[in-house]
Amino acid sequence: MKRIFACLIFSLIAYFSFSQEEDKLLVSEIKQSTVITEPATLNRGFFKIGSEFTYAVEDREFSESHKRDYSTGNGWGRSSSVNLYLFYGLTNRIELCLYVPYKFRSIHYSYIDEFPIIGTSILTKWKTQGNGIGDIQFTIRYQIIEGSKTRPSLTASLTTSFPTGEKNPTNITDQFIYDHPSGSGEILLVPEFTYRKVAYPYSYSFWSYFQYGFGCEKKMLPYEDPIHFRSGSRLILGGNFNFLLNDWIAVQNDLIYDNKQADTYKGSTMITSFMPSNDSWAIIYTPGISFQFKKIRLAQGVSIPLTGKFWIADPQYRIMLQYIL
Amino acid sequence: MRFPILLAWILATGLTLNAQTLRDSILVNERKIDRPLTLHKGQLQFNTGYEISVISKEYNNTGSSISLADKGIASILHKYYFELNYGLLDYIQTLVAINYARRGQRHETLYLWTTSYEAPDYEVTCFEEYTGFEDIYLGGVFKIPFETDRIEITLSPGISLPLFSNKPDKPENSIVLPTEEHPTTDILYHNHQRMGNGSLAVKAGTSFLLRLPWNINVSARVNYSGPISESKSIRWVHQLDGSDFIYDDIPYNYLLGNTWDYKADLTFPVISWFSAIISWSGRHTSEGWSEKTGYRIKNPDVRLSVLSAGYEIIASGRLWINEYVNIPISGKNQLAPFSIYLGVCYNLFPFEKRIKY
Repeated sequence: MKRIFACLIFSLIAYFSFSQEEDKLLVSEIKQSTVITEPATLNRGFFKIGSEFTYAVEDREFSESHKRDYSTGNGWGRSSSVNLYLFYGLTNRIELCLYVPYKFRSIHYSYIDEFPIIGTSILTKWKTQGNGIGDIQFTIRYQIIEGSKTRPSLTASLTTSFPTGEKNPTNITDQFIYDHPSGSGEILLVPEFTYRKVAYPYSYSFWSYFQYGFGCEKKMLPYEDPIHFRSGSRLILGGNFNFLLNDWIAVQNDLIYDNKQADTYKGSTMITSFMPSNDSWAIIYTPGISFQFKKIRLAQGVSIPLTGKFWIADPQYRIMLQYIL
Repeated sequence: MRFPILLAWILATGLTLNAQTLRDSILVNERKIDRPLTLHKGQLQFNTGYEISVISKEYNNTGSSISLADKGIASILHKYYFELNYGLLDYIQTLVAINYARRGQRHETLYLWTTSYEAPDYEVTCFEEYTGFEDIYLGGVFKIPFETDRIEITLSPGISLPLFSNKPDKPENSIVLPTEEHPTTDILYHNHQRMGNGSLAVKAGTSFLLRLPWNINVSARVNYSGPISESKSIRWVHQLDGSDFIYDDIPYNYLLGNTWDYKADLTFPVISWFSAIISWSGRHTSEGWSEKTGYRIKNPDVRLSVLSAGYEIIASGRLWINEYVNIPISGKNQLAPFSIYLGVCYNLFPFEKRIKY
């Protein structure tokens, strides 16, 4: 009986010693996680620094009838930004993020008024630039449901945008030539929820984002008195599907629905008779690719507006570099 | 029922072609600097890309840079590239390429005040739209079989076929008459232009590749292209009948210029799957004429030099991704676009024996 019992014990020991166990990743391996395998928030004590560059032109826009039309007259613009950010894992479930944008923007618009009766013509050029630090954002992110290899994660975040960027027109030469403000001038609050599931080598997520502006007093046009401005509330619903091509390259696919209510000036949506603000929306698809080289991540994508209303219809380039400390 | 069968057949063919072959290992072990100037025997390569060009300046006839944004005629060019290459032998490659482009150029709106100062009587807008496929290019690349891997030289003859129309579509000008609410007459001149050249053109070129020590490649190429014959096109004129535009097309002849283009690349693999590339390229077009105005007028000489920086990432043995930023440096009588190119290259050996598991 003793022999049978001993055999049983040895068999059980052998069985359990050969059974699977959860991977214990080294710290260095966690830091080299790809966009698919990384945790929903940074692990405790980890830092992530990064920079993102965006570039877009403003040539066409979606009209009220959702048609891709060229902007009014010869209106034409360029906007780009360099965003620096710093993430810190306070605990394995709480992450803090600081986001510092630097914006570049230029808008050109011109027209000619001709008065044949008095033999005069006047060329009016509207040429504005807007370079400078934008509104700095601070985010706290918390994993309500902590994700694992088998379990999805649910993350809530709250972002506050502080009006650190210039809110009024500056360097005013005349009413048509001046520097465009690089900030919104108001405090914004953005709650966000993200559901994410990793099913190696795939991951997918869904999120909702709501932006609320508290309003401010600012000059909308040169030589005019400040008026009360409040940006329209914004709702974004989105999802993404990512998959790994190999251990270090991931393909990303984001699809979002972005809806923004009209900005208001003294409670009205008209700043002047020729500058209305409208409710607007767009569906935007962003294919991208992410490369992980040890602790460095290089990602790039193109945001392509598919359809919309009163929304820029040109694509936007994004390139991002990250490093985990 | 036919559609699902066709779809299933396409899917099955795609999967079969995509199955691994013994020769795939050749590509897996090749960095960009190791690649020969011609494809391997049996290698099929599909290149596609998108380029966005910001046309906010041009070079005038003295080579000075002019801001088109200040002139109110800056525009954006969207271009899509498609290219198919096949390696017939290790030293002979064939290729077919076609590009599609779209650009809209707007002009300053003109407001005419003839009777009152409360609202303009006329608002006149001009819009030029350029869309369509460029000429399809069929060509070959022949590599001179040297014993050494350090140097490669190729010859690349080809021909451009005017498969798509170069004739502009009928304009879509319009007039919206004034109303009590909107007391201005709106006039829109909307012209359509095509991207084709409209003439058979020959192309001949040569490429040179030198593999230096320290994992650096230097390559250069020079191409000549010129038309075989004159081209025919039309220009549209219009007259107004009430508020309707009546159009008439007037044919005219033109002769494309002779173009020399060149490019020099310096390629350096930062790591095995990531190569950085710096390029200097240029184009010079001379000769040619046009009778568009009713008189035969010689085309101005055109020059453009461009500096490019970019990279290529080998995502897998078959899939390569590349990106370039192109900055115009100098030129003459030419638009000077700043552009970003993003391309994907997919490779396979479709007629090789599949590996069975």
